[in-house]
Amino acid sequence: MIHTLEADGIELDFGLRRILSDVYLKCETGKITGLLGRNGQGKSCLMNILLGNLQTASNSVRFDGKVIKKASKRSDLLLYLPQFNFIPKSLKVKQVLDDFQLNYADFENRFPEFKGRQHVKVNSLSGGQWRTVEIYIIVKSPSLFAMLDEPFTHLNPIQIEKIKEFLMEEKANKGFLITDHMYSHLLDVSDNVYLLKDGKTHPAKTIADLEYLGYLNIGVRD
Amino acid sequence: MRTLKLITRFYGGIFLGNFLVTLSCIFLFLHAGHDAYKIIGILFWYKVITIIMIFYTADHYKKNELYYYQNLGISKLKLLITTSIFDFLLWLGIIWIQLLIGIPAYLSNLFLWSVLLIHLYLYTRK
Repeated sequence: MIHTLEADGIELDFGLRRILSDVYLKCETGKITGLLGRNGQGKSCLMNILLGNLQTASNSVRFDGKVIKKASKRSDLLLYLPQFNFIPKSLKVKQVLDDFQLNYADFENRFPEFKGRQHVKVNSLSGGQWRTVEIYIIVKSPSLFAMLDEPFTHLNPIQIEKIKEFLMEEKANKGFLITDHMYSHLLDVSDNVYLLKDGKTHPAKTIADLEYLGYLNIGVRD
Repeated sequence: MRTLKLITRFYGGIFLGNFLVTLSCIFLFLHAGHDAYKIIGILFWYKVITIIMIFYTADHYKKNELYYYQNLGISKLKLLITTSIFDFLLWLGIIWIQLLIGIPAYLSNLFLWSVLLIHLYLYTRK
């Protein structure tokens, strides 16, 4: 059965500045939805609205057509990878996986660089490894959907390729909403992409679409 | 059980501040002597206000970590309510013991220094 996460009617203002006004977003299980946008366009705000962490004048966030106001209280519905490190730094890698009821051996098989590192504290890992642990727990933990805010940041090219491969495999188990400035990686893994511009979402499929919508300026249209 | 373990872990991060407030209440009690019951209302509000202040300080300095608990199904409100109730009951228990039997000052001092040294040890281990 395919599950859906839809959001529309979202209005968000910071003082006199309107951040979001005409947003429509649809995610489905089994698919990766990309969300692009320049800095300050409200991508992270939109994710926090979907979670119910950020209150707005009006919004409608629906899971399978049913309005859910506080998805943050339903980890079975929606998990969230924020753009910053969120694992308490004093925890060991195995403790983190145990908290999320995930098997360390499976993690080790997926990311062999963690072999024998289960007792290392997360703050002793490199930035890329720390981020890898965070991505793994959010992607692997059971839920219908997961939102990943800048998952490729802090990762080296090899780690990025591994994460892309991992996401392509795991999309069979849930739906993903991903935002990142590394648009080429995002386009590689996404089934559909939205560009957030001037408070509105615009469907985009190719680099040419992104250039047409003014997100890129690399001469694809020339 | 898992939820309890996670809440306990979060509480561990704010325990010292809260416990120092509780101990300061005991010292004020000791100094008040026979008039101790007269200041219990003030101590009650002192404790309630500091519980809220310490939680909001933790909310500010550990706001990133709150997403960890959120992804595990424990909301900020749940953390606030459970840790506050537990800490208040701990305060109430200690005040009650103090009222009933009276904890000698040297014992309170010993307890305070033990807690501080344990925290210092745990902090340096991190």
